[in-house]
Amino acid sequence: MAARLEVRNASWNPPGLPTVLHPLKFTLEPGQRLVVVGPNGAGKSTLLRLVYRYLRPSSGSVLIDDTDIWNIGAPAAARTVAVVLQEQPAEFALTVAEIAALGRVPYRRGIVSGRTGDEVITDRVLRLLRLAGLRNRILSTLSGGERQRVMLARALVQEPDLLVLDEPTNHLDIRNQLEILAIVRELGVTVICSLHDLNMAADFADQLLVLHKGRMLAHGDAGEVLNTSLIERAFSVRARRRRSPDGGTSYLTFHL
Amino acid sequence: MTFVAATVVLVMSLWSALVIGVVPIPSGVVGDILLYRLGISDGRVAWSTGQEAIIWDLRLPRSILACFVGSGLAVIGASLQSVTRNPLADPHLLGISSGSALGAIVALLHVGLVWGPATVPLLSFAGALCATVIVLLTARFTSSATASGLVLIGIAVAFVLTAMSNLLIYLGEARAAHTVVFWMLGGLGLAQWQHLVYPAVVLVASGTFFWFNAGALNALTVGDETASTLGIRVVQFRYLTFAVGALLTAVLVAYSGVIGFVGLMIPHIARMFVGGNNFLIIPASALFGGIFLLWADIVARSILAPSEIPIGIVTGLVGGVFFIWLLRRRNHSWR
Repeated sequence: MAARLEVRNASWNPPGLPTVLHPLKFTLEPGQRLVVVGPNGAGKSTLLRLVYRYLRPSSGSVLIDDTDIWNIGAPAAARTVAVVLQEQPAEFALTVAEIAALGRVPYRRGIVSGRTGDEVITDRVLRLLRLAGLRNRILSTLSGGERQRVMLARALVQEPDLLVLDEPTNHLDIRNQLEILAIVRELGVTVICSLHDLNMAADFADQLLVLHKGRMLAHGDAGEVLNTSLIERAFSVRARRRRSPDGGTSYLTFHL
Repeated sequence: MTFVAATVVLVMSLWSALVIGVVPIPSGVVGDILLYRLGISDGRVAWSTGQEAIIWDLRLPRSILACFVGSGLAVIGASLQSVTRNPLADPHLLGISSGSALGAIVALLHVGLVWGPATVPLLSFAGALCATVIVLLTARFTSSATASGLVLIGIAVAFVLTAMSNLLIYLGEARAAHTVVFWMLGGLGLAQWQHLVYPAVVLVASGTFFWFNAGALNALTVGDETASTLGIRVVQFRYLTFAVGALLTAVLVAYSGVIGFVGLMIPHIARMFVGGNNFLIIPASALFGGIFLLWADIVARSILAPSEIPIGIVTGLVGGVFFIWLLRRRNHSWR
C-alpha cells in the first residue's frame, strides 16, 4: 500500500542558527515518485530528514496519510517510512541476512524478534533483490552495488508505504545505478529521492523539486521544470538540451 | 552448537577451578563434598573439615564470582562496542572503574572500614555511580551525544579520576598503598557466599536487558541515523545502555577490583565464533567471559603458589598479546 505525503510549509533551522530550509510545500499522491535535485548544500538532505522524522520541522508539518508524523511514535513511523541512507556498517561483521532482518526491528514486540512472518518477509525481499545467494556473506566483502542492494533490502523488509532514498546511486557504476532505480520503480510505493544526475532524475521522476540555497526554486512535472535557464540559475552551469539521434527523448548536457 | 560446547567447557572449567589449588583435593572428594553440602547425599563424611572449608567456603564462591565477573564484563563490553560503534569500547574505558577505584582507595587509605568489611564494595560502588553521572552530565553539558563523543568523555573523566586516585595513593601510607594496588589490579579472593546475590541479581537483570535489546544494538552498528529510521530513540537508548552497563560494572568492580581486557577482548572472540549478531554475541560473550576468568583465576593463584598474583596481571598479559594478534588479523583480512 502506498502512502500520501504532504509537506505543509515545513522549514528547519538549527536552534539559534539561520534557516537551512525555508518553508516549502508539496503533495505526493500514493505511488508517485518525487526527485529532489539541487547543488551541494541546497538542503536536499535536510528536506529528506524532515520527511523521515529525523528532524522536527521548526515550522509547518509533514503529514503521511493526513497524520502528522510527529503525532505517531517512532516505531509506528518506521513501519510506514523506510529510508536508504549512505551510512553503512563498518566495524562489526553483520551478514546480508542479518542486516536485511533489521528491517523487522520496528515490528518487534516483547522478546527479541517476535513475529513468525519475519523470516518469510526477509527471504522474499532477498530473492527480489537477487541477494539470496549472498545471504550469509559479510557486508564488507561485497561490491558497492551489492552493498547498496542490501541497504535497499533492509528498507524493503520494513514493508514501507513511503520510501526515502538519499542519493541511492552514489558511487555505483552505471549499470547498478539503472538497476537500483528500476527496482524501486517496480515497487509501486510512494518514493522521495535525491539524485545528482539530472537526466536520470527526469527519467525517474513523476515530480521534480529543485532546491537552491534552502529554497524551493521550482516544482512540477519533470519536463517543464528542467529548462535550461532554471538549471543555469540553480547550478551555475550552462546547460543545453539535445535531442537524441533516434529522435525520441531529449537529454541535457552541461558546460562551465 | 557453539553454545552447547561453550556450556560444557564452562562446567568443566568450574570443576577444574574446584580441583586445582595449593591444597590438592581429589576430584572424587570434591564431588562428595558438593553432593553433601547440596543435601543430595546424606553421606558418611570421608574428608577433613579443612578440605570441606576450602571447597565450599573458598573455591566455590570464588569460582562462581569469577564466572559472574567474567560474564558481566564481557556482556557490557559487547553492548558498549555496538552502541558506540567502537571496537575498543570496554567497561573500563568509560570512566566507570576509575570512579570505582577512587571509592575503594578512599575506603582503604582514608576513612578506614567504617562500615565493616562492606565498606570497600560500598564506596567503590558509590564511586562508580558518581563517575557515570559525571560522564552523562558532561555529555549533556558539551552536547556530545554521539557515539565517539561519549567515548571521549569517558576517557577524559577516567584520566581525571585516576589522577585523583594516584594523588591519594601518593599521599597515603606506603603499606596501605600495597593493599590498594592489589585491589586495583583485581582479585577474587574476597568472594563470600552472602555477597554473591548482588552481582547475580544485577547480572541477570542487565544481561536480560542487553539481550532483549539485541535488535536495537544491531541497528546501531549500521549508524545512528539508520537506527533512528528503524524507530529507535538513539540518544536515549545509548544513555540507557551506558547507565545499565555502568551499574553492572559498579557492582562487579566492587567485589573484584578492576580486571582489565575481559570486556574488551571477549566480545571480539565471541564474534569470531558467532558473527556480528548481538542476539548471539551477548550469550556467547557471557559464556566465554566466564570460562576465561575462571582460568585466569586458576593461573593467578597457581603460578606463584602458595601466594597469588592479582588476576588483572594475568588478563592484562593475555589481553595485550591477544590484541596485537587481533590487529594483525584485521589488517590482513582487510582486502
